[in-house]
Amino acid sequence: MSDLFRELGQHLYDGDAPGVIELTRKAIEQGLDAREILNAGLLPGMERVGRDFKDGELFIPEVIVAARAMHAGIELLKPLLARGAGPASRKIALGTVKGDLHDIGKKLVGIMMQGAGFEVIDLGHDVPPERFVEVVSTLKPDLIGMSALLSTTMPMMKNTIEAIRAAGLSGKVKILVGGAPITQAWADEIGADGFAPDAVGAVECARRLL
Amino acid sequence: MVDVHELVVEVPRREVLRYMGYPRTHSPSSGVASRVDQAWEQACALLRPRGAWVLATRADAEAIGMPDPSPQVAFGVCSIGPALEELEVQWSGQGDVLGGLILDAFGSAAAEVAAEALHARVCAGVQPAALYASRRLSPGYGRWNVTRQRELLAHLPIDRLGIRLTEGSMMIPRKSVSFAVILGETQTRERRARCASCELETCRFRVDDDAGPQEKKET
Repeated sequence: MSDLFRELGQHLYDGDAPGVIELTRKAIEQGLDAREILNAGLLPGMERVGRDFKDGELFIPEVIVAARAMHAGIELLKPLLARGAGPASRKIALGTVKGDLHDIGKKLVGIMMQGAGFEVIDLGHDVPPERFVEVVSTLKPDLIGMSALLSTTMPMMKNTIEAIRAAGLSGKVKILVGGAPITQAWADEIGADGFAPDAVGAVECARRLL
Repeated sequence: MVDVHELVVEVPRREVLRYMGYPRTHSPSSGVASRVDQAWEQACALLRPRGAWVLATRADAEAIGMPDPSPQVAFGVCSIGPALEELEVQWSGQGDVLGGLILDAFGSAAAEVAAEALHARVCAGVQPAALYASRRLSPGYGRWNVTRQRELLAHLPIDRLGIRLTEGSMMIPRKSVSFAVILGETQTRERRARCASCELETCRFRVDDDAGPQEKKET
């Protein structure tokens, strides 16, 4: 069993989605518990990817490919996990703030979050504060991730947080911010709960906050 | 009327990889390298690099917030066109984030090469007047506030180039570069990489073959 999980983790690390699908199916067919397949096979592989990214051994494209493979495995496990007694997956809504049309960095965060087992709602780019408020009140995500790539659009993060507060929703959702000009100091200044410098850091921060 | 120039752009693979996050010491995995290869031809075919530049005065430059202008300056803007970004949006929207990242990196590298090509035209254009062009300065960098972008672009034929500006001073297409250069009567060597496109022997950016290794490796 441990060989199967080790092999599964290796396929995930290599970004081999077909291999991950095949081995996840094999583990399910062997009657292994879905949560065990996730915790002993997929997650250790993804954690190794995150470690090696931090250590400068892996780079964003390889991380994306691994996250896609992880997501493919999780999709197979999802129906089984839903039947179990474990907690439901945490929901995250991501968007690039109003006035900012950059998308790729936010998409990277989305794919990493999915790879880490979060349910991701991608709101796209140029997202006005009122849309974030609407999403918080109707879809009830556990966390909002806001991205801005321009110094001129950064203030919209503050406006969005203020709009969420004004709607009486500030205690209902955690707020994570990121993007090229964003710093921890800015996150503190605007009252965000967390800041991440990159997609892997965003996953770590989301896990910490939730 | 200000001329719009078609620019010749050859995108260096190493620069695309750099924009994808790889340091010079590392290469992509075979799977990623293969995706880059697959996207390359299509990406090249979607480029339409064009640009324009104009001469301006110190007063013009001061009016738009350019730091430390000389009596004569040049303003320029270029873009690679919208098609590459449209494909990037399409691929990313279909969940192909790696493909989107590759096109985004390709576009960034292409826009920089286009800006270098336009800059070389500025260098060549001012040479008959015995002027030398400095390196490029862009709004949003150093002491030049990005909110002055609109005033800079007012000097340039952005409509004919298909460039527009958002309220947040972001150029659309995103892979566009605006800049100003100082024009001086004396040549000052600046520390930067060997110019890839300029053939001018008197260009201040030229790195001679016998230049020291420190100067050669800086960018």
